[in-house]
Amino acid sequence: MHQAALLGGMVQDAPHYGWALQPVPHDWATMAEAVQNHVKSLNWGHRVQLQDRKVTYFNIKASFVDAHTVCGVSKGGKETLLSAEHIIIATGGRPRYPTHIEGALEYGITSDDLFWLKESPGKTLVVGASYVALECAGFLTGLGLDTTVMIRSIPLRGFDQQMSSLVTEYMASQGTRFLRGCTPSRVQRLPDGQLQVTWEDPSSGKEDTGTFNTVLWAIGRIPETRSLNLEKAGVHTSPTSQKILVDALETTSVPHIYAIGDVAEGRPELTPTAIMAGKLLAQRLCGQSSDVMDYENVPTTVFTPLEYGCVGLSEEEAVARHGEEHVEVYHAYYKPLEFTVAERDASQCYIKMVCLRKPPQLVLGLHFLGPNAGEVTQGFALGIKCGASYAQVMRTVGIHPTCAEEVAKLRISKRSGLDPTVTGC
Amino acid sequence: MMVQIIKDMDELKTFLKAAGSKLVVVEFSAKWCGPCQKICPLVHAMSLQYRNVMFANVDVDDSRDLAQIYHVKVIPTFQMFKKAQKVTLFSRLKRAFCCNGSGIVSKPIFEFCGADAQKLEAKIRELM
Repeated sequence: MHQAALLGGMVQDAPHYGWALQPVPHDWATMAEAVQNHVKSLNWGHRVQLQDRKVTYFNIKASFVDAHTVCGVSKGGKETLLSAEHIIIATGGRPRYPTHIEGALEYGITSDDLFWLKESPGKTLVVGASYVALECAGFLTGLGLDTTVMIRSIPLRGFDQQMSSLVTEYMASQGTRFLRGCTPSRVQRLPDGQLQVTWEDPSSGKEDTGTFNTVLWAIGRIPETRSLNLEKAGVHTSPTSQKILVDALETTSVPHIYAIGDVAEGRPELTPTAIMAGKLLAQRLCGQSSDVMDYENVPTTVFTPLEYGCVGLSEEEAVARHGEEHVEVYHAYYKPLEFTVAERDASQCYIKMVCLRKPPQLVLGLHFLGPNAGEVTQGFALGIKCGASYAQVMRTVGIHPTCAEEVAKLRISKRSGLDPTVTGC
Repeated sequence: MMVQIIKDMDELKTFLKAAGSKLVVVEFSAKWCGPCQKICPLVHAMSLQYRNVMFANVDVDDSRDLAQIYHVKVIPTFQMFKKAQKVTLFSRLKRAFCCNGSGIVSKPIFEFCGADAQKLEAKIRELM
């Protein structure tokens, strides 16, 4: 859906390049069907793979009876008891509903529902500041829908905050409305079917209301552990997050029970990370290797309208870990070539590289805000994994014309106080 | 209904028996598969044109067991059956089968993957 929104932007740019395109309407149903069909084809692909590798697949809902026994219930209600030498829990997480807010459950939806809507969500209020909230609000705006984001405190908690505010700045420039510092208190349905949301605005000290067609809760995710009966197996969870406590080998409090992915405490909530951890665990359990998952320097990208890719430490984390005097941050604003002819505003297109100050200046973190951030960041993630230094980055020749070359061209440090904005080609 | 919808092994066995010595074409498809939707009207047209060929369709989501038994990986997949006669008909066997508890499972004489309607028609004409 992010791609669908980006295409809308390209349609707008097209006349600058000579294409005689009129503004085109967007049909949600066509896009939704294509997305849904794609997801179903992925489900099929997984089933085929399991079959190929002779994995026995039980389509049942499982819970623990004891540390070695699991009971599964099929859709029809039939129970099956399974026991195993090793048990791996990978039940992931689910979007959290703010159950204390009146009307939240009955009238709001989550990201799980958004992609399965057959009709356009219309005027939408997205509550939350997570990457899910911003990505959804981003593409909804791009598809031409009136979109508002309600943020209680800061955007993208856990991510570099300078980059996070550039992300929301860009979204605001594209028409997404932001209600900062506000918290919803109730959701009601009006006679015409629309939803009325009431919220507290601490800056005015008053209550305010708004009318929307859809309210999307994107306030965080909770692990799928409630129905597992973990106590029966003796598996401990974190009292705050409810996630399963694990060690570096993914082992839980019970030696033969393991947990990977979003359900485990302290892990990046990223699919490729869970997949790799799972593969390494499987190899260890079969005695094929003793390799342990490395959770450091895992790259990721937030697919907001202007994409944000990052790998390694945020500037705040680097300073907290090493001290400001030991950290050097190189940065630059740049203008993507595709923005020039189309006369797009590139004010938020920005890169920063956080390094150790001591030569050869090990790269601690890279942050890239711009088009195709995922593609750009993936390549540099390998360099950082290999322990790249700023000295080596300086010796890397750029590919012209790309946005990625701007990473190799970083020369201005924050400490120098020099102007990092665009200067010529 | 020129293309018979088949839900399970029993229905498939009944269909194959009723076919006698006619060529049987079974399409494994899915509602979410674009190429399947494209080739659907063409298969229907073929079922009307080739009256001495029996056509059937299996939805891999509705009939997961059948899809598994016939090792369907790619969609659409067309499997062709013909009562064993002699040498020439076993032109290309893609996969061997093991017997399940209820008896010997019917083997296809040819498997065709993908939504190339022309190739499909050519093969049907060759085997029918």
